Amino acid sequence: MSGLSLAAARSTGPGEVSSPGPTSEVLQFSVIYQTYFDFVWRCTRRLGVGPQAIDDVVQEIFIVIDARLSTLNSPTALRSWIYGIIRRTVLAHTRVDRARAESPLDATDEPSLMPTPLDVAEHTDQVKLLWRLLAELDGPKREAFVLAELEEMTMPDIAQALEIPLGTVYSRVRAARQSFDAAVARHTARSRGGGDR
Amino acid sequence: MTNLSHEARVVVEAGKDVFQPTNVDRLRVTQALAERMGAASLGIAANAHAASSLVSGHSLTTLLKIFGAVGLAAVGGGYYQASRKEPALLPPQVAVAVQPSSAAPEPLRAPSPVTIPEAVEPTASVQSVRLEQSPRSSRSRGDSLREEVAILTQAGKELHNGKPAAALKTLDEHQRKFPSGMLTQERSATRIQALCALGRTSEAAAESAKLARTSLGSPQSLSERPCASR
Repeated sequence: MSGLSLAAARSTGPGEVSSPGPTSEVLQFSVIYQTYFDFVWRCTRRLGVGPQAIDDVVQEIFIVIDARLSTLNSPTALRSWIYGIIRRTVLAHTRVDRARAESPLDATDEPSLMPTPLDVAEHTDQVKLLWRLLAELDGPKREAFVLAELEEMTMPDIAQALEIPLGTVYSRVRAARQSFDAAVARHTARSRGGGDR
Repeated sequence: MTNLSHEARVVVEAGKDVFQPTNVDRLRVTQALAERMGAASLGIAANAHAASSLVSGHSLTTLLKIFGAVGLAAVGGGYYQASRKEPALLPPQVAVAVQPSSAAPEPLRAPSPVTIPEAVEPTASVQSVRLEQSPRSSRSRGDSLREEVAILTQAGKELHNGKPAAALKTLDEHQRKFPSGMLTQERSATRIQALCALGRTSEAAAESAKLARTSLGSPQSLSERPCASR
C-alpha cells in the first residue's frame, strides 16, 4: 500500500487532513480515501462529470491516486496534488465523451441526483442561479473561480493544482470575480424589474 | 485582489455544499472500489474510521450499519470501532490491534448474531462495535444492501430525469421490500424531493417531519418548509 509523510501533507484546506501526529506517521491511501472522498466527488461533479459517469470517474481518480502516491515525495499541498489528478482524469474522460467535451459544464446539469434535504429546503433557486452564472464564465476563469471561492483554496495552491504561474491565477480569479459580480448585478436588476426568473 | 459584492457572495455561499456526495453515493463507490482494489486498501476491514470519517450528519447510525454490512460482505467479519470525534488518521493497524483477549482469533469461523449499535451517543469518543457473522449470512446481508442501493439509485436517476412520479413508485418498491432497511433515511429524503417536484407539498412536509424525528441532526427548517423556493 502506498504512503507518504503525514507531516508533508498537512498544509491543506479546512476539513482536510489536519490532525497532529508523529512525523513518522505514514499517510495511507485509506486515509486519503476517507478524508478526500467528498472533495474528489465535489470537484469531479463541478468539472462537469454527470451523474451517469461520476461513479466510474471517481473510482478511476482514486486508483490513480493510489498508483501515484509512492511518487509523491514532499507535497506542499496534498489537496492541490489530488486536484491535479482529478483534473487530468476528468479531461481524459471528456475527451472520450465527445458530447461533453465541447461543454464541460452543462448549465442544465443540475446537482440533483440525490441532494441532501437541506439542499432541497433552502438552496435550490440560489444554486440554479450559481450554476447558470458559472456557465457564463469561460473555462479557465470558471475553474480558478470555483477553486478560490467554492473550495477556498489559496492562490499558490491553485497555481500548483492548475500548473500555471501564480500571476496567472491572480489574473484569472480577479477577472472571474468581476464577471461574476457583473452577472449577479444584471440578474438582480432583471429580478427587481420583473424580468427574468 | 477584487472582492465579490455582497449579492455575489450570497450566491457563492449557497453553492458551497452543492455536489456533496450522499451516503448512498459513498457506499456505492466504496463497494465498487473495494471489489477492484480490495477492502483493506480502503480501510474498510480494519479501520473503523472508514465508517466514521465518511459519515456526515444525521445518517451516522445508518452508515455504521452500512459499513458494517459492507465490511462483512467484503471480508466476512472483524472488529470495528466507531468514533464521531476522532480524526480519521489512525493507521489501520491501530484498529486491528484492538482484539479482545478472551475471543478466539477466528472471526471468519465463528458464526454469531450481528451486533450493530442502534444509536450512537454523541458524547462517545470511541465506541467499539463487535461484528461477527457467518459468511453465508454476510453474503445475504450484502446482497440486500446492494439491492437497496440499486433501487434508491434508480429512484434518484428518475428524479434527476424529471420523472418524480416514477421515482415515487420506485421508492414504494423499496419500502415494500425493505420496510426496515438500512437506507430508510435516504429513501425518505428522496421521497421528499419527489413529492416537492410533484407539488404535493403537504405530503412532503409530513414526510420531512417524519424524517426529522428519526434523524440525528436534521435541519429544523426541513420539516417546516421542505419545498421552499421551488
